[in-house]
Amino acid sequence: MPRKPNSSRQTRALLAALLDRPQTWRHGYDLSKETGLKSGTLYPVLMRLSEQGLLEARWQDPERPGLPPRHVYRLTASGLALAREQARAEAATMLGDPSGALA
Amino acid sequence: MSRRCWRRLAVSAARHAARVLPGANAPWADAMRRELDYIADDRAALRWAVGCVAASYLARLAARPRLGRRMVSAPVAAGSVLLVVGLAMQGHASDDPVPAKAACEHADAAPDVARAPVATAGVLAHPEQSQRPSAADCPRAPADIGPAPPPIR
Repeated sequence: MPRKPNSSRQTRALLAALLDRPQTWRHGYDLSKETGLKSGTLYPVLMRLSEQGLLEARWQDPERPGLPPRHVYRLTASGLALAREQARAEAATMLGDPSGALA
Repeated sequence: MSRRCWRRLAVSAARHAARVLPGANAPWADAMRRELDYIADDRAALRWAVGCVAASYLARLAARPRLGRRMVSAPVAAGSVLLVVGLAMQGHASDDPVPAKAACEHADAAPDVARAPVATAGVLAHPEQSQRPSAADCPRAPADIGPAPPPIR
């Protein structure tokens, strides 16, 4: 049976981190520290989510002069919906209700 | 290795990652590379850059046209089945006689017992078909066990 897309532990961790502050633009290093994902894992997931239209990315001007612009990310509306759905499912699993009705 | 070396290595690795990444993903390569300037710790920067190289190669592999899963899995499945069947048949298809070493086990037994047919993996073999080992091959064998009786029909 094929695995449900975007259901890996790494993707779920990233979606949860982005869902934590959905309106804030987040940096790659910041997300890496929060989720514990190494850059080699984080960026492929970010790229995939962006390709699927679940993540938006833009360049942000540096806060201090002399530093380069930074790529920042946040969830799109569909990404937000998916992250919420996964958070609900995870909460339901922790409560021992696989149907998600309790969450 | 000095801290400056870690940083230089990290920058080189990040540049390499940017070169490896396919054209459509160039902004991502830039994103990974520029993040280095915000990582104060040189060792952490190198770890980050190594991860970027891994991410770039992964993205490059993912961008390559792949064969369909069915196209790949059919020959692999067929090959596996053939291999298993071949290995299974190998045990039964052999017409080798009973190995000479097996005869040594009966070297000090009565000749008629030693010549009893031996069943091996469903194939009835007779020691007569095999080459008789020499006394030197069988340390416990008597020096002379007399002439061999006529073969059992």
